[in-house]
Amino acid sequence: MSYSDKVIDHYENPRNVGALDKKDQDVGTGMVGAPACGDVMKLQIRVDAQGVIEDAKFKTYGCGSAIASSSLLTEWVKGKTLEQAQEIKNSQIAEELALPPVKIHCSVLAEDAIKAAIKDYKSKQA
Amino acid sequence: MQNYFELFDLPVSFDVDPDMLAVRYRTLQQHVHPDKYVTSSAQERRLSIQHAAHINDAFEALKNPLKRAQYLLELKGMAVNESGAGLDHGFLMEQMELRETLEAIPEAEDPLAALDHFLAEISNYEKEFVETLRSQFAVSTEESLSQANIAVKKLQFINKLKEETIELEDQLY
Repeated sequence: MSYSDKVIDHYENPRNVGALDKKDQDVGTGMVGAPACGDVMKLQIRVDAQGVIEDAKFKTYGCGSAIASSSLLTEWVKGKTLEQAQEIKNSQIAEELALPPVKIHCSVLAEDAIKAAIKDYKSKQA
Repeated sequence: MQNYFELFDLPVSFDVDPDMLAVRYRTLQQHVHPDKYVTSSAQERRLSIQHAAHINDAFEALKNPLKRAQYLLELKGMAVNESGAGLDHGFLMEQMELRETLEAIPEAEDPLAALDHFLAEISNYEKEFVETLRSQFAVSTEESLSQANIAVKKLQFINKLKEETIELEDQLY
């Protein structure tokens, strides 16, 4: 199976790898996993008072497509409001990275991760 | 078609006697051995090959605790899907930390000792989840089977981790 140039680019130069302090009130953490391939993905967002995502970090253990999906997603969500980030669909990620059908689940994982991070952030504000 | 347990004349259960399984496997394989079919028609030979393949699939599925659990859940109409739903945050966090530990092993003062220690840790997790499967299948209520479903998913993560650890072991030696 061959990876697209965009996947290879994100895989070789992943953006926003790292961690935010998950105890911070303005940080939301999403943890997701895919049992079939054993991938684990952590995606974190820092949200400002206006509900805009000012920073995003990720750490993914998995295949190139899973790393690229989460890397791309952190780039996309920065500067977006929570509502806008919530709207991102895995199909957009899959399309941008030209993921083959067998790797679509990697983009699903990334969508699940941002949704989980938003949910975690909101639960902290309640 | 007979299910795998019926084929091996074993009770449909998570507890499989490995010796019994091995004995039955050998007996079954003898019946379909290609040598027995040298004078048979092409169709008979083809059927015997298919049968032999079926016996091999069944043996692999019953021998391995993870595959056995997946097969049992499938028989009970609760096949494990690929979704990570039902995995708790704590478990995923732990998996992340285990991956980080694995990643740091080549830089450890004594990588081989660190690797041995890590493999022992993984094997403990493996035992824990197999034990969970054993006790949940023993109950076999809808609730316990959905717990078994989650234990299967967790065991899949541990298996993957083990594969990666063994890969690293190959690189270090």
